[in-house]
Amino acid sequence: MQLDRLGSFHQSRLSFMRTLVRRMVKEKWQINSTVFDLDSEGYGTAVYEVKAKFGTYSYVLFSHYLDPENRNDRVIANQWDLTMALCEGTVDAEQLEFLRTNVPKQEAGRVDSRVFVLSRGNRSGRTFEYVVDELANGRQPDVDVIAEVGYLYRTTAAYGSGKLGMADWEKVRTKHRDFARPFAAEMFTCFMLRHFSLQHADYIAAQRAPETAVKLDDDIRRYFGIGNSTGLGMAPFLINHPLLINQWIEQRETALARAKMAGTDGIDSQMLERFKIATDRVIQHLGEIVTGDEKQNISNGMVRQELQELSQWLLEEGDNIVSSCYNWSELAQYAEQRWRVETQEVINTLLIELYPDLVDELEELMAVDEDQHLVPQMSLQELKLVIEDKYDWALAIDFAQPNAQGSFWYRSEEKMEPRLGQTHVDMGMEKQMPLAIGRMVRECYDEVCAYIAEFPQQDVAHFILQQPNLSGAISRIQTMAQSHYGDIRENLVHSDVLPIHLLRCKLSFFGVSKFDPRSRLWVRNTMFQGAPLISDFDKPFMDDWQFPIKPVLSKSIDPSR
Amino acid sequence: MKVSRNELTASLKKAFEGLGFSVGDYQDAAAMVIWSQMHGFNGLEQLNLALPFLNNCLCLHAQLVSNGDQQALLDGQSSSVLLCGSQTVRLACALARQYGHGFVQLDNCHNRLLIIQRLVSAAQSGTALTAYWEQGSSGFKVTIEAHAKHPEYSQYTLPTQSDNQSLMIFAGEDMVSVEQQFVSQISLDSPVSRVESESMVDSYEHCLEQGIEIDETLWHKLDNLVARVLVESTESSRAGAGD
Repeated sequence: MQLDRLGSFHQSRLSFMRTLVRRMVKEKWQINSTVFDLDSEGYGTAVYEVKAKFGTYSYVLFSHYLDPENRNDRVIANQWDLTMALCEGTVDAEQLEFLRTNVPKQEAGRVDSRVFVLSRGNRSGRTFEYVVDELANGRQPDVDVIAEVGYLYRTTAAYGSGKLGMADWEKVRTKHRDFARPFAAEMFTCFMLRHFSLQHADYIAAQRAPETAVKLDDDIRRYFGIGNSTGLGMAPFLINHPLLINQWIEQRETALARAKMAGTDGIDSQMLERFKIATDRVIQHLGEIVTGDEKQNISNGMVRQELQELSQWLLEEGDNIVSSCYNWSELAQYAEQRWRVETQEVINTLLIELYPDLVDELEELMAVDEDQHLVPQMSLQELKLVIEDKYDWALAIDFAQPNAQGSFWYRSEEKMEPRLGQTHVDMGMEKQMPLAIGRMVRECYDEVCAYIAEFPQQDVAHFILQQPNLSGAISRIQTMAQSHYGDIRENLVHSDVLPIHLLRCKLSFFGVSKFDPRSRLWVRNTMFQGAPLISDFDKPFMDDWQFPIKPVLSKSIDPSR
Repeated sequence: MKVSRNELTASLKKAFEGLGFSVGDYQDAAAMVIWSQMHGFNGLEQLNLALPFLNNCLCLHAQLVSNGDQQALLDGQSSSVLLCGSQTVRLACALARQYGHGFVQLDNCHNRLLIIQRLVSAAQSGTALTAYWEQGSSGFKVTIEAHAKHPEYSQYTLPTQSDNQSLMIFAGEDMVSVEQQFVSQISLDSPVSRVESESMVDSYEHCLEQGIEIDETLWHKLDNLVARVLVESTESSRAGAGD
């Protein structure tokens, strides 16, 4: 996959937040607070009991005073407004004390295998106090103000998969079917943070002004998501889990192919109308995004312009499109020829959205065995051909060019935070992480060619007796040659590499929206904005909350609510 | 203290990287230790014994001494199976694929008990394998059928003390052919003890459910090795994280 296309992905029906919400609503998960022990300032402990289809879980949250001076979204922070844990079963008093001692410490604490996820959140300086003040004064917050931020709290990390003593992913996958999909437990933790954040604002407003305070209106509540800051820590994941990334993208491509096939014989007017409504919604969504990143602003504007062109065409030519048996593949082809990659990916996402009956079953196929296997009996001649065929993009990179190795990735001693260094400027190049797959393949290829010149009939097993340090490279090459999408076809150590594309790719599979780049190295975004509330779980559900837009308040707001 | 499998894997990979292992080597070595620990073979104890040695030597791999049809002899150069084991098993598998069966003897190597995970991994590709080594008055035999998930482990009493530091790997299409190779070279009485696959599964499930017990001293040793791959943080380096 090309990096710029990966960096243009949007959430889809297969994104983990979407699939989680569908599951919770369909199975009518029961979520109730069993402890809500907060003081008048909103500091204290909350515990929620979660009754899902296959088991019971506990979401435990601690709310702490945090000096605004110490509020920091980076991995290296050591204090937060909120810290929380998702645990199996119900939590007794003894376990709650254990969690109270360790969860607020996050990476500096230890938990045990009863815990699935550890996370933390910080208040939005722009919205939290504003919203509480408005509610305390008996008013609903201004939707335009909310639109600028989109959340009351933002999460800065959600650790799972066995970190800090937690349950291994394999335990979660095999013993807790409610969370047996990649990142389902982590996404649920963020969903619960959103739920708490709304309760928290209501609670503090009521504490401050019991006589006048009102609760947030439900339409406004739905428009609040959870903020997220994602930095370089996510980037190595994509390089180190190529089979998993391949699986995710393959399912997404399968979904897109099914959608295109469904319209092969033409598009009916109802489907066309749905597509147009969705297109107009994206136009509005992009228009409502507020970002200080000029490049992102320009990009959003250009995508809007192209989508407006599409919308106008749908409006004017709708009847002809239906009668002429025009199909989605033709539209996609047109987009590829005329419009930006970002616009193409919006269209792809919208097409997938149209066919839930064909797409949603793929959500069960997002996990995969990630073992890489070396094939020792493969002849070196065959390995050479495999590299030339599957890694032509890597062989095409000229690593002798000055900028071709201008960056390097390393782990800092500060919480092992991944960082990007400048070659010959920053320290630590000798400890760089092995993320330069293109360069690794090039080095392997050169050694294979040299060995073949001397031993043309030899196999991989004998080659790695001579070159044992290349076994990892060969194992990856042989494994990934069987897949289409796992390797990112880009020189990831070029001076101008844009890691933010890597972050956006993974975040799109999580299901976030409103990308707000803060630099080429980290991005803010919004999770679950527009998603149903827990109180919506027993109501009719349309599953159409992607690309959130400002709510049109359907009724005059009664301050006494 | 208890750690999860993923946590231990991440720590071991970086610790081996800190010892100078290359990418493929540290992945394989971490997998070997963890498999042994989780399946009841005391992988962490083995590692603890190996660390002083690994810490004071170059990362030596096996060298090819002789190579004939169906068999090869390797010299482990007094290194660890953590570094030589993968090469040895892969060569045996390649010979088996080419000739129907293969035999590789790795001389002069240590930590041979840790080889089991490499056998299990290779079996998934359709090769049946047996490993055999001797230590003191005991012989140890590990067998696994092609595509099987778990091996059988047997211990034997030897008639005389052995100071042999060799590891023998037999590979073939199925266990019948592998066993024929084995008995043509090694003669053993009945085993004095055997570990069945059920016992290994129980141990694995327990570790997965409760976490893996690790001695805190060893955990700190690993932390110190991990620190070798970390780079000092400076104001300038913080800019490389997005500040």
